[in-house]
Amino acid sequence: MYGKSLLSQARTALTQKQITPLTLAMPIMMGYAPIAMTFGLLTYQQHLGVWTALALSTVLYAGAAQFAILGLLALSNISLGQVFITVFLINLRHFILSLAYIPNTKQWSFFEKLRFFPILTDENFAVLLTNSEIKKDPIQAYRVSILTYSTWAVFTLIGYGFASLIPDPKILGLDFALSAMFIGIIILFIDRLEQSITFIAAILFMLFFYFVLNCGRFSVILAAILASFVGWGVECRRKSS
Amino acid sequence: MVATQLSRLSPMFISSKFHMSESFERWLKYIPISVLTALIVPEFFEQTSGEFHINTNYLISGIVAFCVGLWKKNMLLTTFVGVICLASLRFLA
Repeated sequence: MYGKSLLSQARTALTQKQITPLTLAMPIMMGYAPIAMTFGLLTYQQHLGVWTALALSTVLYAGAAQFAILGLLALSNISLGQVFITVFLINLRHFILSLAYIPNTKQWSFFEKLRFFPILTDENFAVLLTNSEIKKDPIQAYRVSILTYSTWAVFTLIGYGFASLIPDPKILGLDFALSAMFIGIIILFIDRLEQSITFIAAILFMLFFYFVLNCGRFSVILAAILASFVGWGVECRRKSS
Repeated sequence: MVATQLSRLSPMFISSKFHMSESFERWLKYIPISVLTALIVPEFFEQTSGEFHINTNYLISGIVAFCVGLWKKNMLLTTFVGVICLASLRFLA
């Protein structure tokens, strides 16, 4: 009788009560590790220092924007202003995430918000919202974020160290890794007609600005802004019809 | 580095100040896909003495990676296939 209740207690603990920040962070950490490693690897291939890799991963800490910076640096003279605008545009969605998360932080102190929001990512946001208790607990929610944040930094370094062991990246086709990775990310974004149209529009605008008008690196910003307007326009039109 | 730091932090402070309109939010959704697409387009071309040429190896690898991506929806696999494809094209050439 006693043994049975103990067993059922343990089962309850395992199924319900054991949701800790680590349980929530684990899937994100597993997802981040290989991406962060890829980032470290690519940073090495762009002949950037290990401190640059670490700084980008700790200060910027934004997957897509970090890869975009590598992409921008890969091509010739690029101004700081262009890097700034590109990163700013990609990170603008953190706006929306932070904004959407604010209702959960009503009881938090200013310091608790200040340490939580700078390291909020899309994945943290999504996972935290699945747990009604942890998302409102400033310490628990921060733990989820700091776990994924550390994973990102540590695996950036591992990837960087791993890359220095590879003799010639060209033989292995690794110079294509960044573009291939972008293609992989782009496809994950394409889930509706509007996204596909945006994708095609971005290609066409880019070809026009880069090759016809010779706008150089500034073409990226122009094409991105215009293509987003196309996607947005199509969405508005479909909604109204 | 300063620029990137600023871009990361400024949205945080501004976001609490003003309310974003719904259509602006919808426009923002399309930014990541268009920026990433715009970034890879020049990768498929190479410039020799002022003229642009299509880099066939890159283009083929890109198309293969794209198809695998559409099929499996797996970012890592897509990257991996793209890289392997380019490596084998170079090996065969």
